[in-house]
Amino acid sequence: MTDQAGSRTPGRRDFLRAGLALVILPPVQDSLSGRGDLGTVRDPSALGRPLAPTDPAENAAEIQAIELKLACNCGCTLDVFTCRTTDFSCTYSPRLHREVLALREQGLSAQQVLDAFVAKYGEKALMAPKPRGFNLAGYLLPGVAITTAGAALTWLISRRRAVAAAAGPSAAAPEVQASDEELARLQRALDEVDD
Amino acid sequence: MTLEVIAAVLVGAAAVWLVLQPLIAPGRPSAPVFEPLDPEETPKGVALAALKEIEFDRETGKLSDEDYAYLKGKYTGVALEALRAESAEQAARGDSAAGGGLGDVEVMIAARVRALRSAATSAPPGAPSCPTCGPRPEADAVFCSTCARRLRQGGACAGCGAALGPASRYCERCGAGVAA
Amino acid sequence: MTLLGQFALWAAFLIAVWCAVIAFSGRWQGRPELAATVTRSVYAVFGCLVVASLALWKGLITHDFNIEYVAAYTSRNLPPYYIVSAFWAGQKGSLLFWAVVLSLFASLAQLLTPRRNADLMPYVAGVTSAVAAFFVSVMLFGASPFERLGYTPADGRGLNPQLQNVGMVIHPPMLYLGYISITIPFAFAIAALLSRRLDTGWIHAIRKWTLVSWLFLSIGITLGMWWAYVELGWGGYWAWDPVENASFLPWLTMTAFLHSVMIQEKRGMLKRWNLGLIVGTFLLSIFGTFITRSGVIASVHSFTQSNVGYFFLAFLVVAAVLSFTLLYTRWPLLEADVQLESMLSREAAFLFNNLLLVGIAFSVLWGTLFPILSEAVRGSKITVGPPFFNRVNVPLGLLLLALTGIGPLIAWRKASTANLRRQFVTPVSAGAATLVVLLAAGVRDLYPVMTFTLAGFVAGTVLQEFYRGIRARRRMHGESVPVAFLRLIERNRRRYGGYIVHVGVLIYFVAFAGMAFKVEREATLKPGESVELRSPFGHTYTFTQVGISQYEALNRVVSAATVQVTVDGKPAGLLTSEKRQHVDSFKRPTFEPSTEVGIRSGLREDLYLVFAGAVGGTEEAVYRFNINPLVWWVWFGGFVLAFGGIVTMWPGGGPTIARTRQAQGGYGVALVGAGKETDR
Repeated sequence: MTDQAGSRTPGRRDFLRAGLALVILPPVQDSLSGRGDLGTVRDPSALGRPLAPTDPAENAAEIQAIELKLACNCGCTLDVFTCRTTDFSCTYSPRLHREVLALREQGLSAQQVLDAFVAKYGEKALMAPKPRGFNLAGYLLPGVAITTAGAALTWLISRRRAVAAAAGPSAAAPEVQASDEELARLQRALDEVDD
Repeated sequence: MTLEVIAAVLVGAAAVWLVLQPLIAPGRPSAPVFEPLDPEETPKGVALAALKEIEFDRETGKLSDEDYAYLKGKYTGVALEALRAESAEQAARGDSAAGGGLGDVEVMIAARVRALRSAATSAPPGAPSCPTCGPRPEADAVFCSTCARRLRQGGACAGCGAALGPASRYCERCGAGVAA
Repeated sequence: MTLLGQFALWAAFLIAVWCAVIAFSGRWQGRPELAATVTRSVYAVFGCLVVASLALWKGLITHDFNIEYVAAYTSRNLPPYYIVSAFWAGQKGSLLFWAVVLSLFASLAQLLTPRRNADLMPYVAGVTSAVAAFFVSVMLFGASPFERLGYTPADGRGLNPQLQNVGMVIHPPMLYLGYISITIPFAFAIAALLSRRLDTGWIHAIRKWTLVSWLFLSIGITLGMWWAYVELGWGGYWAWDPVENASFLPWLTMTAFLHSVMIQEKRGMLKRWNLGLIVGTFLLSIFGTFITRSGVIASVHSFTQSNVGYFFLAFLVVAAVLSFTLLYTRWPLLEADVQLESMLSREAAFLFNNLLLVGIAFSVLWGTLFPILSEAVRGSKITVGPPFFNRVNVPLGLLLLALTGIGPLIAWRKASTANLRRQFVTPVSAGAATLVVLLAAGVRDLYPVMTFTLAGFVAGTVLQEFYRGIRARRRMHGESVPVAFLRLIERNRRRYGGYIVHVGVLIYFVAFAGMAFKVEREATLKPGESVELRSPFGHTYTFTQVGISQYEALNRVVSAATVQVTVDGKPAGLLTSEKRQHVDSFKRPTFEPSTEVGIRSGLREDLYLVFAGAVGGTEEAVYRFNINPLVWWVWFGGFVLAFGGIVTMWPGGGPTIARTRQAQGGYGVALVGAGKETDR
């Protein structure tokens, strides 16, 4: 039996199993191309600006954290980290990235780097303004407005309720004045409503 | 280029004709039709739906018994009022089908059929008209012989003499407005 | 065809002005021929704008590069479907698109509104025509799509690569449909004010329209997020960009209206507030257009910017002044029928819901305009980015989420303590259970924990509502569970469709909270080198550089960089991100190379690969790797939301009063009553 198995024509079950394996298993690359010598691309101009290799140290988490708080000034509305890893035609964000690295090398703390940026480029260098002075209005006004309006609403409702309570007990069910014939008619009308 | 100019002229002419046609040739302006509310949107319908919803809300535990009693009483009152108003209206209309919940559309259709029939057969120009039953053949009648309501004189268009339907605001032949 | 197009624009403009003048003069009252003219003008404007659109499309399809718009947004080698979508890809074309869709909606409003509102319709036509006349005048006097060049370029510039995306074919039209359809409820509101018919008639007439525009806005915004995510490549879907905010504002006020209008229908309250919301929503949609097109605030949507923004500013001011003046003069007519009876009633919950929605709208508007304000007050420029908006709006959003769960549990009018306890036990336990699970799993971040807990609470509320509804129907009507379930939704589409929408909203919230845990990292890899990232769900992903391949496609040279992915050591296939250098038909590069991100979407987390570029033309590539948790759920939430919206607005539904039988009977009886022969 066993030596015949190799020459046996594949049965329906084998076929299905093979098909199923094709569907379920993700395609797996046997070996990696390009290992060893570094290949070059045919048309480097189609790749945009050539980049310098990045050093793992310049992508350290604390550098990234600082850059996420700094705004790029190319008009992209993004932060420095996101802009330099997204908009590859932007020349500002890589330069700002170098500045951050340089400041860090001078031994400045994260906060000091941010302060140095504000001193150099103005407050717009931060992704969000510092919550002090006039900026506090920016942070607090919506919350204050909603709280005030909510309080006013609560007060208004409770006052109306007090007025209503003073006017008399409205909670008592109103007496229904109706003849039996009318009530029967109402019941008929209700039965006609298909809910 | 020429083709484009011709196309532009055609488009312009078509648009202007579409817009101005009612003014240039006021032949058949569609008479404004009175369309009644859906039964669900009438005061009666709203009250009935509210009563149903109150039942449902009590069943789902939304309403306390006290609130249920209050709301049920309130909307039963509203519904009864709506029913009474409806009966009163039907009685005023002299409708023999009172209590049957006759819809406004049906009243309209029936009145319209009557108006057309009587206009086609017997109503002379300038004949009096009943608010419910349309123009009457009896030129000197004061009350309607069908529903006993007071007749309106001059149930015909001042412009072309065509008979007017009940509650017509415009003549359906010539489009002239009807003086109220 | 530009001559025909330009002529059709002029014809549309003149007819729309004529229509608005006759309509607002009010002379049509009692003169049916004038009323008919007004209605027909609406159709004529639509016809003219269709002709203008066809003329522009003909120019696009026949590659008539002598037309400035065609040369600016298409090229010979642009795929056909993008030629069609180029119609709304640029400023001028999108104005025409806006105008033609507006006149289509205006015509549909005239056709579909029940005749009992006939005395509102000429005013409605007047408002829609005035708005249409404004849009056409912007084209005629500011930015004509039919402008010709002094020469004919051999090929056009082609479409911005960021717009060459399926999302971009449908996202702008959807959003525009939402924006534009707001005009119809606005027109009815103004018509009701002008004619002093301020009963619930106009509210019923616009019910479907408000749902339609809300639905289109929701779909448009979600598609916009999807487009930003797959095309812009910054790794997320919402950046509080001014244009994103501009689309969010009318959505918020419209959502507020959809809630508060129910109070007006049920209780006759909030009439002024509702009118104000409709007017405000319309003004915000115009404001959004102004923001998008004027460039007064920096945004990613710079491709539609030009000087026409100031037309919109002027229109915004005029419309605001006229609308609010009108509202003011009709103020006394808008007295409420009933007063609020208790703090703990659903009306009160709805009021607070409205307060929050409008408050969030205000806060978003405030943040969007704050840079301008700050510069005016202090003279110093500031950036108001996502950290600001998150800080201000996340707490408000959480409050809103909580209210989504609380509101449905409170009955109309009054709610007693015992009744409240009975309602709240299950949902609160559901929320608490979620909290316990999260804390046990070691999640400690405040906002995400609160979001998930509240989401559990809202889910509990919705489930309890469905469960109790089904139970009640079974008791009252003796139906089986599936029948009771279907009838429950069918007979109260607004309530239960609304609950489905709430589920969609809570899914959104959960998905948004997931992004708090995103992981991102830049790395340079030579072939064979790899980088390791740990995901918030505890998986370890390894990305190994494979290489870069280049090939030519229809209108671009593609450089595809590929990495191999393993999850916890197990191979999981390849992921490819592309750089695309778009070229015209002469192989000349047209735009800066664009990046096409590689995304592998999963229920838990998305792998998001951005190919930044190569080092010195070699296969050594610079990448950004993102692991974005729960992104799939944003799109799913969008589906649920849209489904709920469709359920809510599906025709029919609600308790019906049987009338067919009556109608037949009544007809026969009435004829007998008339004393005429009948053939029954």
